[in-house]
Amino acid sequence: MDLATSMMVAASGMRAQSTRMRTIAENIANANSTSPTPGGDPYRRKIATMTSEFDNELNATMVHAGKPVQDMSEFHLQYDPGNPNADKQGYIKLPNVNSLVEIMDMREAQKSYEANLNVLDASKTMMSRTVDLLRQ
Amino acid sequence: MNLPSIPLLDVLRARMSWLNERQGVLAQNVANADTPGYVAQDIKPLDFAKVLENATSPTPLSPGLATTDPRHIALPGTQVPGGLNPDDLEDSSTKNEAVSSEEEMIKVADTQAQYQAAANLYSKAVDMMRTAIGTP
Repeated sequence: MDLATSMMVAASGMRAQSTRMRTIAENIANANSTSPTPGGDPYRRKIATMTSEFDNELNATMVHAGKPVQDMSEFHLQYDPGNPNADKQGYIKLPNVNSLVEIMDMREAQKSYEANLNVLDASKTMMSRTVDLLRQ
Repeated sequence: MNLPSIPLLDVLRARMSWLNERQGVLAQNVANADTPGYVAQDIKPLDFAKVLENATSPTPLSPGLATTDPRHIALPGTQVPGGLNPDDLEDSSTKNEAVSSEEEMIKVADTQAQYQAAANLYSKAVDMMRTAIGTP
């Protein structure tokens, strides 16, 4: 395994974290999206998934962002009879998104991204040290 | 006498390729830090005694070229740096737990510093030889 492979692995981690960040962004953006029809279901929270996969070509364990799965937990109900999309009892369904959870998830994705970036940087420095050996 | 068969350079080369492999394994750990079920890995420490023995023994353990005819001339000690063997890998230190980002970051920084040290020593050794042959 050479340094270029290390950089590829770190890059795969960064790619996976960006995909995760996109899912989180969708959740936060849609935190208040209600159903377009009265009594219908609002936006359902998505959960980012990750799988590790052995790459035979590079001989290394890469990480891939899997398909986001839907969070099947209950929707929040809010009494809002004036809303055009409220049901007969005057309740409206709000998405099962909890902003605090999303923000914690976002921080974690950010931290993991930075960790991968550090590895990439360290590998790059090591590589340039090797190239420096030629320059004498 | 070819360059890698100089014992000092051979030891440094072995050290650098070991650090190279380790960096790859650490990159995998960081990239897969958020993958459920992934166990952190590390590689076995470099066996200095063995490296030294390899470097200083007059007949290296693995010959570089096969001599199938009496007229073939054997090359002295061209060792091909081996890739990562699966049995070199071990689950990280004591616990079979998820990846700890901080621990991995420290290991990455350590690997980088060790690599710089080895690269510096290598260039110093080459400088010494250059001084000996009298080129400024």
